Amino acid sequence: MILILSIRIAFRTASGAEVVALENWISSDGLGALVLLLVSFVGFTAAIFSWGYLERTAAANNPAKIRRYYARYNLFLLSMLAVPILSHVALLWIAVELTTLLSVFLVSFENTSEALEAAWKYGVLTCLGAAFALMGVLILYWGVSTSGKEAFTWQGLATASSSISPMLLKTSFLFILIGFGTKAGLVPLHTWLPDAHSQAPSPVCALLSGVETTTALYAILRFRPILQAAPSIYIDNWFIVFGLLSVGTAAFLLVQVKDYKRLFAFSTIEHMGIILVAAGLGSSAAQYGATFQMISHAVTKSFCFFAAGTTLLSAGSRDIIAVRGLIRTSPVAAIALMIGGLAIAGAPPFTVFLSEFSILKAGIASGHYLVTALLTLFILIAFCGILFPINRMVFGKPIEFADRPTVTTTSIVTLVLAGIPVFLLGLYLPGPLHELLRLAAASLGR
Amino acid sequence: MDLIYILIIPVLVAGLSLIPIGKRGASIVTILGL
Repeated sequence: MILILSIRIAFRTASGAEVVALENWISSDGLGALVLLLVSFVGFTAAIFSWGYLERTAAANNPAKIRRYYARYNLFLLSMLAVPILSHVALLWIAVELTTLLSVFLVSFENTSEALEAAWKYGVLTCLGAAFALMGVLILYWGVSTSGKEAFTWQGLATASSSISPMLLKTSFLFILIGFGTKAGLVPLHTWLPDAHSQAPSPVCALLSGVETTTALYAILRFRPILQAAPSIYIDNWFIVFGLLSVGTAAFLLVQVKDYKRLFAFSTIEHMGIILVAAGLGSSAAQYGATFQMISHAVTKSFCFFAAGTTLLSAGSRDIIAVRGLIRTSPVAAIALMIGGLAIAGAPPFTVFLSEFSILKAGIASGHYLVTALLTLFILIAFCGILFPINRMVFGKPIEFADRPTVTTTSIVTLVLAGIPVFLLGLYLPGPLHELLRLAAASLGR
Repeated sequence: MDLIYILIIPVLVAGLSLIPIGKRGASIVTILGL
């Protein structure tokens, strides 16, 4: 139902209509409608995957625990759906903070010591980040309230920003970048992400990695047009530096990962960096690439975690070294893992290839040769870092797993559903989606 | 109104999924809601 409503909102936005529910509180523009669509799609597919996945875990014999899982799942989804449609900045902060509070118990769902440690680390570090973001929001509010009577919304801030002291804007931006950057997993604030995104149940990982980080990045990107009012902030340079740092660090960390769910988690850090760099390149083509990369990341990363979940159910281990010759022991998991690996690494004809290519092309066109060269180098390192272990897992000498269950029907249904945009968007971009991307890209600039 | 429904439906579904309605009740309610 929510997916249908989101598609309807996306169509209305793409056709140029204004979607407003409560003036100054709840509304949606191009960027908001795009993120809303992504959250709904991944939420829907992950819900289908949860069905079969939970029946194969230890929680299957505990119906009360499964009911609690779904209640938390829906509330977590609510918080992520709220982020792109709340136009009041303080409410956005609350929604982003709620995404942590409502998902921390999903991370610890399997109740192992590693899962509990990951949940604590996730909760503490992201709440610390939220405190920084709150400081930034409060400083910004102070600036707005001393400058005039504008409402504390994205539109109000964009109008009022030229009359706010650049010093206040700069200070608030730094707090917001650190605060929401922690949540988005930007280096060096990323340490919680690989733990949380590898210990949570796979459908939750799909949500955390596919869309939760995107919603946090959405919050950062929203401030770009506001902060462009003060050229002395050099917001685009900050984006490029933090973005390249994230892509580079993740690329080198990918090479030494021993757990395949962590592999995909590190790839999330890489993708967040790529989006930030693209936003910082400044040209409209690069902004378009940034929004396209948001879609590509969300659909492909969720597919990767569904493939990882299917592999985990088949092989019973998260260790790369413990899974070999999957193509013979579990062909469905092997094919899904291979497609997921190729797609997320950026191989053609998948959607990530097209979005990364458009960003690199925009980088060259706008004269950012060094940035583009570094980005290309890091993407190539990450490509090898992802595909070498996956190749060994799929085609290596088979290890027979003792009495492993077969792949569930819901896993196959989810993999097919989630795989459609991964393939399709790499070959063809529908007109309304192109228009939505264009509007979303326009929201990133003044 | 669509935006309001988007905020209301997950709360309703979260509440409904807590009701013990069969082994797969919570899964079905969630999938239908989303």
